[in-house]
Amino acid sequence: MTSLRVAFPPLGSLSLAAEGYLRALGLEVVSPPPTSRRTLDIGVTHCPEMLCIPCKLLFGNYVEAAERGANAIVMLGGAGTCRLGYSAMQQAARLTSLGYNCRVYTFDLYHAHRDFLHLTREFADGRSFRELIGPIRLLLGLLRLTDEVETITLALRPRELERGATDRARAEALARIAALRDPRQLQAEQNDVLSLLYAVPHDPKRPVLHLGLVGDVYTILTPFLNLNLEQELGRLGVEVRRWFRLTRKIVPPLPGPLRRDRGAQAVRAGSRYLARDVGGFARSTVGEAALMAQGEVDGLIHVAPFNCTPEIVAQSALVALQRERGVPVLNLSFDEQTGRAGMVTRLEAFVDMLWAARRKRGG
Amino acid sequence: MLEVFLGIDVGSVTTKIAAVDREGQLTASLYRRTEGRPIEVVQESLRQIQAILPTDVDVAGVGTTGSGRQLAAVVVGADLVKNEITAHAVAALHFVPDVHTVMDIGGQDSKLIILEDGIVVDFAMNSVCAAGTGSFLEQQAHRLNISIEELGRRAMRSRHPVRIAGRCTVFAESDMIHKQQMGHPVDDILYGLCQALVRNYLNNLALGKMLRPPVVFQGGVAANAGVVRAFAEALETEVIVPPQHEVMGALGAALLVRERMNGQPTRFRGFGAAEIEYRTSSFECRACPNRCEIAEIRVGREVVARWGGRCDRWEMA
Repeated sequence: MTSLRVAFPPLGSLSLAAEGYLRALGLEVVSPPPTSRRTLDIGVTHCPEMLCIPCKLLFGNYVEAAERGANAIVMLGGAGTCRLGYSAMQQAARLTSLGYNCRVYTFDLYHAHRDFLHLTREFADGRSFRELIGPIRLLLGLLRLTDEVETITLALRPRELERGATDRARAEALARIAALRDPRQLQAEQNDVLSLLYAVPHDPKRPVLHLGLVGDVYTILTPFLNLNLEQELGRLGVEVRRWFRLTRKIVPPLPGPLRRDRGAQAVRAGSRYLARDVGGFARSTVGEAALMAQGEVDGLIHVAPFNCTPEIVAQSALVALQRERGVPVLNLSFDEQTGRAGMVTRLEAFVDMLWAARRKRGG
Repeated sequence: MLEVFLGIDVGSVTTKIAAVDREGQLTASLYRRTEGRPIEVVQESLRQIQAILPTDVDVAGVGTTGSGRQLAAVVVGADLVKNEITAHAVAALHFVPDVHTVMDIGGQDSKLIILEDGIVVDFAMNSVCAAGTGSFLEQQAHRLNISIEELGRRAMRSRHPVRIAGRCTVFAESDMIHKQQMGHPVDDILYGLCQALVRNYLNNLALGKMLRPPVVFQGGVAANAGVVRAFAEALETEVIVPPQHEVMGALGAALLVRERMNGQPTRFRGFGAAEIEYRTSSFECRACPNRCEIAEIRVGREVVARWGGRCDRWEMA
C-alpha cells in the first residue's frame, strides 16, 4: 500500500492546527493552495448548479489538493442536516469520476469533538495512548494560539496607525505557527509569535464600534468568499467579535457543576427565538446573537451563503431578536460574485448608522 | 458671488448632480444616463451643470455617492465620499423632517431606510438579484412598445389589475405574456406589474420592519404613478414623492458636504476637470492565485487611482 498523503481543506487557522496535528501523528501532509478564483472555477464547473457555494468551493479545494498529490482527504461534512452534511460522499464520487482516487475521511464541524476522536482513531492506528499525548498537546496549543492571534488581529485592525500593518504582522505570525512541530517548541515560541502583533503601532484610545459576527462558520473562515469582510470592517473602525472560538469548537467543555459553558448558555438565550435545532449553525448563531445583544456589542452582522437553508431560518429568528432587543442586524449573503462594491456600501451605511445611534445615547 | 456645494451621484443606470447654496436650498440639478461610461458622463455632467449655474459661482465643496462614488471622487476631486443610504436619508429628512420610512428604487437596486427622530435606525438593500427595480419596468415597457412615462399613466387607468408573479423578473415576464395572450387589457397587466414590483420590494426588504408614515418614496421609479399608487394601496397610507425625487442621492451628498466643510479649502479640481483626459486600463495581478483584476486610472503618465484587489498591494485612491 502506498503511504498516506493527507490533505485538509484551507480553512484559515483551523487548517493550521489540523495540519500540525496530522503531521505530529506521523502523516505526510499536503497543503492545498488557498481558496482562489481557480478553486471557484473548478467547483462551479463540476458541481450541480443548485449546490451551495461552500460545497462548490470545498470541491475545488479537494481537486487542488489531489493535484498536489494528496491521496487522502479530510472532507468537511458528515451526517449533519445541511446540504454540506451529505456532500462528502458525493464529493468523493465526483473526485473519482475526475480520475482522482482518494481515501475520504469526514470531519463534521457541527460535531467537531466527536469527529476529532474518530479521526484520531483512524489515523493513529496502533499507537499507544501515551504516544498521543504529544500530538494532542500540540493540537490544543495550536488552536489556542491561532485563536489568540485572530482575537488580537480583530482588536488591532481598527486601531492600527499604519493601514495594513496588522495584516502583515498576522501573516507573519501565522507563518511562524505553521512551522511549529512539537508542543515544547510551541511553548517556547508562543510569546515571540504574539509579540509580532503587539509590536504593531496602534492607538488604544481610538473610539471603535463593536460588532458581533454571527452565521455560517465556513463563510466567516474563508476571506475569498466573504470578500475580506473582517478586514473591511477593521478599516471602517470596527472591532469584530466572532461568535465562535475554534478552541471551543474542538475541545469539549469540562464537565462539572462549575463549568462556564458558553455554548449551552447561548442555546438557552436563543431558545426564545429558535427553539430547536434546524441544522447547520443556525441554533448557535441565534443563541450567540442573543447573548451578544445583551449589551456586548453595538450591532450584529449575520453572514450566510446565498441559499443556505439553516442560515435563512436563523435570519428570520434574528428579525425577532432585533425587534425585541433593539439591536441592529445587518444580513449579508455571499455567492459567486467577486465585486465588493455592494458589500462595502452596506457596511459603510451600517457603521454610519451605529455611530449616529451611539452619539444619540451620548457615548 | 454665489457659493454652492455640489453632490454627484453616479448610479448604475443614471448619474445625478445637485447644487445647493449655503442655506441648503437646491439651486440646480441634473439627471442623465450613465451609459456605461461613468468618467465621461461625470465630466459632461460637470460641463452641463456649469452651464446652468450663474457664471460667478464658487464651488465650496464636493460630495460623491452612488456605486460609482470612488471613481467620481477621483475625476472631480471630492471632499466627501458617502454611501447612498446615508445620502438618501439626509435628503429625505431635508424635505420631510419627521420622516419615518424612506423607500428608494433605482435602476439596479432598491433601498429601504427606517428613521427614528431624524437618525437612521435600520435599513435594507436588495440582495443578489435586481428583480423589482427600474431596469425591469423599463424592459417591459420597451417590450410593449410604450415609453416608461406612459407605463405609469396607463397603469393609473387600470380598474381590475391582473396578478403577475413578482418573485423573479423572468417569471414575471412569462406571466405577463400569458395574461396578454389571454386577452387581458394592457392597462390591467401594467398595473398588475406595478403591484408585483411593490410586493417583491415589501417581501424582500421590509421583512419584519414597521413601515410607519410619513413615507417618502424617491429614486427614478418614483416618477411612475402606477408604482406610487400600488405602494399607497399596499401600505394603506399616503406616499410622499418629493419634487426632486430622482436627484435625492446627489442632494444628500451636497447637504452632507455642506455640513462637513468649515471654511477649509475644497479639493474640487474646478470645472476644468471636465477637460482633463483620464485614461483607464486594467491588468491581472499574478502575485497569488486570486488573479485580481486591477483597474488603473491615469492622467498623462501619472496614476491617480488604482483599485480592484483583494489586498492592499495595488490600492491607491
